[in-house]
Amino acid sequence: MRKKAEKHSSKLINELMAGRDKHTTAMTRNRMLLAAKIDDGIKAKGWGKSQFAEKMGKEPSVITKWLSGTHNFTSDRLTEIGLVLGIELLRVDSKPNIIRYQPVIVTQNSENEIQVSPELGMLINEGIFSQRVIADC
Amino acid sequence: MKYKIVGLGEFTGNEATIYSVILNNEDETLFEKFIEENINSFKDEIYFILDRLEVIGNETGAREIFFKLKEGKPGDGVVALYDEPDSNLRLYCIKYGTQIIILGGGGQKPKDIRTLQEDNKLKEENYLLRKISKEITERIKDKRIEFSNFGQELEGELEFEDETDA
Repeated sequence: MRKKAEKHSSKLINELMAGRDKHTTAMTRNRMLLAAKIDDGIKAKGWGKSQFAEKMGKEPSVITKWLSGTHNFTSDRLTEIGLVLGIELLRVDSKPNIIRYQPVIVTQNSENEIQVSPELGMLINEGIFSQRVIADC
Repeated sequence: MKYKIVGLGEFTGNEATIYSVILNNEDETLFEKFIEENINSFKDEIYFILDRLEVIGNETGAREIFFKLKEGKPGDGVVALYDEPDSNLRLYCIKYGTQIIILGGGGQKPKDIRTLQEDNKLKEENYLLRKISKEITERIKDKRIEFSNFGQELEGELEFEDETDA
């Protein structure tokens, strides 16, 4: 049986990995994943870097930088690239998760019973929550 | 010179196996030495490199787009990890397809040089990887080292010793 490489554990690397800023790490990851998606899109078209550069009206050196996974794309640029490659790079086509608010009126009748209109239970079941309560006691 | 190829579990994932090299029975890999040499002056860049290696190992693999190719002799797989345009550091590696990287060392990249040969430190680190790559290639040809796990791992005689030292 052939020998696998010995595993080397590094205290230094482990400490640095644990001390990273999670926001910066997430930004680096997203830049690389976007670059990989664009790379896949170019390959799916059967293009090379130069052809893609031509379609985008850019120099090949600009495309190299985009694909290096270090570039901070604007949403407009991602839209443009997505249209050229026929791929979705920005997921804004699905509706955002909207929380709807509706005012409810709380009243108290002569027998001190609290009444809510529209009926609060129904609104909660529908995922609609009260934002404004008008007390009319 | 003696050296051995060792696996770095911190970065290795489903998409790529990340190795480095230990010289002469030292405690640290070439990559750890690179970190130690530069962490005080370029901490953010070191973090950036760690982030990138983690993504390569776990999510994207070692795609060509993430590397500056042809940093060694033709076909020897010596490359440099791409960094931001205004960055100061250069890290050399040997890349086998998209699934294996051997991290070497590197150093500060002076703004006023055109070729790595103009900087002694970069030249030294780069030429060391060229030598290691050449010797690994020879062992691959002799089937003393093989790719396993569908090309994601190196197996076999991963310890080297110069014949003049033996």
